[in-house]
This record gives sequence, structure tokens and C-alpha cells, in this order.
Amino acid sequence: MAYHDDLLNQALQLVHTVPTTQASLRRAVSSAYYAVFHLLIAEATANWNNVKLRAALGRAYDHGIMKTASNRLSNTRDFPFAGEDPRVVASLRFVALTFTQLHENRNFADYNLTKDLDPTDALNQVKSSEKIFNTWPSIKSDQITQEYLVSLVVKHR
Amino acid sequence: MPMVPSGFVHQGQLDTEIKRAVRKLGPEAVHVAYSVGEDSTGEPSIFFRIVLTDTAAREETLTDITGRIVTILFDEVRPIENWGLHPYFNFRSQSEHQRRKDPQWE
Repeated sequence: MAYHDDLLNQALQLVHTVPTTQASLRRAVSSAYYAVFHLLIAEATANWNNVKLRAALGRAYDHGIMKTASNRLSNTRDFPFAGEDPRVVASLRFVALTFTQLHENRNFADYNLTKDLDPTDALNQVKSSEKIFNTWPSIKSDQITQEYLVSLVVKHR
Repeated sequence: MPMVPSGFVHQGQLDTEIKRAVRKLGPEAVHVAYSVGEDSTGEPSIFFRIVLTDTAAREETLTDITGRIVTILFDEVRPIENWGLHPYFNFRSQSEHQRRKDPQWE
């Protein structure tokens, strides 16, 4: 099983831990973010022919650049995707928007102890990351999805 | 007071747009609060805080309902295109909402 699959399973286990604790909820959200983070990197680097170097190539990916790229894709003026399959466009926008949401919530979960993390919110974050995993196979081969994967490693100028 | 670039957001217009969109959310969304500010990376953002009925917040229905609510607010308000604000959506069940009495969610 791939590392990102393990992380998603861990997130699902943690968010269902009884009794619920802030530690389990926060680790669940953090694991959910990293599951998607590593899924996207694995999918992007899978295009690199030299299998042994894919993990090293994955080190080039940066949280901030990936978030910025995902933010930009959510802008329908900059990325209207005219003529593309609307179902693929909707799924890709869901991935991008959810990634930025997970990025922000991971930051809260790991660092912000001024407020409790809600169980409902934590569950929604984990289930949303699971939905990305379920959605991804149906869009991964589309050109706009491959372009998104490239944008995740390219600093916007 | 939210910290956003000067002149970036006309609060009255934004509030009108959001109230119009909220009316389309359906009975699962009991209450919607929002604030404008910066996210963890300094990007101008809008943070929606949505209270769901306890039934809607059950695991079996949660992602379908939150996905529909996100889509409606995203499409109706168009926070990125019309307001230059990146949207974030957080959810809480009604029973959690009543227990916490958090002013930011009122």
C-alpha cells in the first residue's frame, strides 16, 4: 500500500477514535492533509520514467507553491476551462479547493490551540480528503489534471 | 475588525451577496457566519462558518451536504472572481454550536 493510502487510513482511524480527544482530531486533520499532499506528488512524479528517482524528485514540491497553484485554479476567470468536460472541471476544482482548505486546517490543527477543533469539522476534512482519493482515478488522465500536477511544482511568476 | 487591504472589500455589498446566497442553502444549514481576514499565508480570505442540523452532520450525509453548500456559496458569491477573497468553509453541528456558544459563530 502506498504511503498516501496509509496516511488516509490513519486519518480515518484517528477521527473515529473513541473517546474523542483534541489530539486524535488534530492528528486526523493533519494526516488527511498529508495524505492528499503525498497523493498529488506521487501522481505527478509517476510521469518521471526513472522509477528510482521519483521519491527524490518529490522533494522538489513545496507546500506554499502547491497551495498557490490550487488557489489559482479555483479562479474561473483565469481558468475557465472552456470546451472541457464539465464533470472533470468540477472534480478538479474540488480537488484544488479542498487542498487549500486542508492546508489551512492543517495549520490550525497543528499550531492553533486557542480554540478546540470541532469533531464535525475534523470529520468533514477527513471525509473530503477521502473523496479526493475516490475522485482522482476518474480525472487523473485528463490533460487539465496533468497540467494542474505540473503547476504544483512551478513557482508562479 | 478584519485585516484586509484598504478598499478591497465593500462590506455592505458583500453582506448582501452572502445573505442572498444563504437563502438558497436549504434547511440543513441552520446558520451561516463569516469574516474577512488573512489566511495562514497572508492571502486575503473569507471564512465561512456554517452550522448544520445534527442530522445533516452525520457521517453518512456529511460530505454530500457540505459539498453542496460549498458549491452554492462558491458559485453565488464568487468570492475569488468578484471579491479577491479565497474562501474557506468550516462546519459545526447544531448541538456543538449550542454547547460552545462561540461569538465568532453567531
